Amino acid sequence: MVYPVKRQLRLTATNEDYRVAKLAALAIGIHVLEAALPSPLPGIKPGLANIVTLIVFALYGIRFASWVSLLRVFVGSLIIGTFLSPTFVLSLSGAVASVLVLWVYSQWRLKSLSVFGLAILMSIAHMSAQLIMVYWLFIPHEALFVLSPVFMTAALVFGVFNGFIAVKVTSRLNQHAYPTSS
Amino acid sequence: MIKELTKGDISIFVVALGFVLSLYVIFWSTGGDARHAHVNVVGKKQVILDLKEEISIKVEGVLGVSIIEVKDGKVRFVESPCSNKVCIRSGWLSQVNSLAACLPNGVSLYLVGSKARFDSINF
Repeated sequence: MVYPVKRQLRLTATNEDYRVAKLAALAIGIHVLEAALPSPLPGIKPGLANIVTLIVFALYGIRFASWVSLLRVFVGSLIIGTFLSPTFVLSLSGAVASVLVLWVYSQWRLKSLSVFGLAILMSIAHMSAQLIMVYWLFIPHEALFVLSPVFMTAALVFGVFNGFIAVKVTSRLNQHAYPTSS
Repeated sequence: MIKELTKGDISIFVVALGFVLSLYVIFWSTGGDARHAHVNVVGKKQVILDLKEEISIKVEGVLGVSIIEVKDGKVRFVESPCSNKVCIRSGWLSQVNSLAACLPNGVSLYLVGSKARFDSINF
């Protein structure tokens, strides 16, 4: 008689995993706190959690940044209770667009931008992706884009705001403010 | 703070600002003077009015008769059998993409420019 060999799957967390978890926890905390802030218009949010993504990118590179960003979206939505809702879809598409910007930047190996310029690019990409998703999935009418100047102005303002915070934090962390593509 | 910004940052900011401003120009500028008004009534064929004419038409809607007046390149609801009179308060319309509607009566007015856009529904 042959007994099946009991296979054990061992999961060991590496130091990198712990680091991603800690940084993602920080981003999730900010994400949840921000969800409690009142907004003058649905869809307009400071996006403070993206600062964490940006700083992680500047310090540890694109791989860490995408992990932190996507974990933030998934776990944050589970905590707030919007998982798989339209809010979640928009949150995810915005995060993916921001990470794509960072990825393109890291592939090009440009050194002429600091986190400030990246913050603006990220927030514009974030908002564009969300507008396109809203048009594609929820409100397929051209009149939606009449609102785009309002949304894009908010994206630019908060992009600049977040960019200044990111510059401040990265220089305070005693790192150079120029992200390296490691 | 400012000295930490690079030339790339400044140019990104300028381009982004230009992009946002262009959105205002593209989406918030009026399309100019309209040439035609489309009158849509629920369950009836669309009527196209030429704004160069001076005309007053009666439209039979769901509740009753709405009167639409065209004068000097402008168009307005004069009378409508609804209770709120939102359509009449829209006043004179002359710009492309302007809209007035009497929802209770099922009558709407939509202004278009020189190029009348057709889609498969019109044919």
